[in-house]
Amino acid sequence: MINKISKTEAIKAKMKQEGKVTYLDQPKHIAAIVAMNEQLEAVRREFQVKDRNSQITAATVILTA
Amino acid sequence: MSISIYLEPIAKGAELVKKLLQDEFGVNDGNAQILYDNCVKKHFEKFKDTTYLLAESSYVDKVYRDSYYHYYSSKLSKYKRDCIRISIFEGEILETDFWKEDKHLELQDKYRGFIVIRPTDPFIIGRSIISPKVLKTNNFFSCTTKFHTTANGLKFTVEGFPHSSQDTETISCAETTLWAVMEYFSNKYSDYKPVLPSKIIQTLNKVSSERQIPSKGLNIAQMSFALKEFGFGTRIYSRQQYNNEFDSLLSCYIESGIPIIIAMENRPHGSIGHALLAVGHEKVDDAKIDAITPYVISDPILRAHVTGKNIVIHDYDSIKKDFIFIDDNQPVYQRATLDNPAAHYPADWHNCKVTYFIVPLYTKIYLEAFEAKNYILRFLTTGPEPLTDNSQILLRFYLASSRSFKNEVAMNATIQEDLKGLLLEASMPKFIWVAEISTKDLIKQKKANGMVILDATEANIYFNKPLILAAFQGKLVIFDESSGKLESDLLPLQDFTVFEHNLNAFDI
Repeated sequence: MINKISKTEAIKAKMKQEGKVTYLDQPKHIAAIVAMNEQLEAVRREFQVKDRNSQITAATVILTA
Repeated sequence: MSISIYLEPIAKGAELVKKLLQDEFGVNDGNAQILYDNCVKKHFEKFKDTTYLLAESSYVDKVYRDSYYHYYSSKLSKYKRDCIRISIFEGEILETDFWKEDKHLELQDKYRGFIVIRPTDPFIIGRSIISPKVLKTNNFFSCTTKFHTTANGLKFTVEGFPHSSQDTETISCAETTLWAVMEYFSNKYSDYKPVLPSKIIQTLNKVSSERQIPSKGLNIAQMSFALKEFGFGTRIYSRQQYNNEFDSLLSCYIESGIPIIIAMENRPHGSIGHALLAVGHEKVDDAKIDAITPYVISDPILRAHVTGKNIVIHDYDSIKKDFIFIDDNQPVYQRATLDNPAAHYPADWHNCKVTYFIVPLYTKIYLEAFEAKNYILRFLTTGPEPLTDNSQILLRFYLASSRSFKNEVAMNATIQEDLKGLLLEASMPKFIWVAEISTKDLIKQKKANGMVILDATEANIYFNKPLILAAFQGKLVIFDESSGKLESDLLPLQDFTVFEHNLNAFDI
């Protein structure tokens, strides 16, 4: 018989059996995820502006000293 | 033609170097003294008093040879083809040691690297690899890698970071910095190749509208382009754009063990623009940790939410510390703060500020630091399983190779068993972002009590796609493989030792 030594399945099965698992699919969880997505959309827009402007101005800075 | 070899303690270093400059390069006595005082002395003064120097003439240095054949040989003035190599040993050595097999290990233990002296006066300090162990002050962490070399016929290995001064003709500070980055990465990883000055010039031919030698320096976009051509996924960060987050992003990449190119300038009021590398930082003491102030969230809505829950976050990257610089105008492993990066320069440099940095990222790191950090902040404060009210945490954030990370997790006896199993068996990309969750008191003991692991290949930051695993405050947040749903499992956690293998320490 082949001996499987990985533990992940057993760990997760044990946690499920002991009632320690909660799925984050309730309305409040979904709302939190949606809100996070909106915040991260703003972060992404902010990053794109900063990134683009960094590249544009970088071409004007000559390093020679 | 034979090689002349000399062996002297560092106390006679001045006399040795002057003799070499006169004998090998034909420099007159007066100029030899000036060259020693202006170029070499400041390097030797940093070495321990027990240092011994072994000098060899007729040394073929690949970097200088490249500049020689592509530039110096075409000038009217006659330049020597060969260099002088000075090998550095910590502690007394004898000439007879090199020919005794039973002394070889002892010599290797004492070997601390080398400095090449080029016949390009007044800029004579060439390629060097110096181990921080030989420095009088070495209580810092730094990126280093192993280099294989020889001295007096024997093979040696030294761990350090490459350094050279610019010759101002074929390589200015910008090209020297590019060379040092590639020298480091090519020795550490097989994905990259070393580049010589002619290769840098050839690569930038496509993006230059004028001749490139004699060098007039490079702009930051050109430097980033060159690194991209050499195999990196480079990112440019501007202080003007990133404002208060600039220093912490720079610190985070250094904590990740990535040497980054810094642009230091005093324009528009002055005319100085200089490139150098940041490769590490000083050891952080308890007082500096105590001095960390709460992270100020720029987003007003998020700030109000976090304040309402009385959650306080401290950012490890906001610690005011000395960084370690590889500066071609200074001896290697120079220390300075980001607020005063030109502290070791004359007064007219003191108003220089760090205005940009370039990060040479591995090409498959698609999620960069700004977005990754912001994701973690929002996950912990407004996510589906956030920090509890009244939490006070300290976040230590860095990039790590999953291979190194798992290796350290496997050997870390302080990590809770189930968490260890899940971490080691989790599918991970080559690089991961790690946020260690700790407190001020715990981090003083090099410990944390939680972590968030992100997939650095996941640029899509929505629906928690970058999340591999989060474990904090007695819960494990992970995706269920079969349903694809995010789940929260109760998992009591114990304090564990933090990961500190991106940078190397050298003080004993």
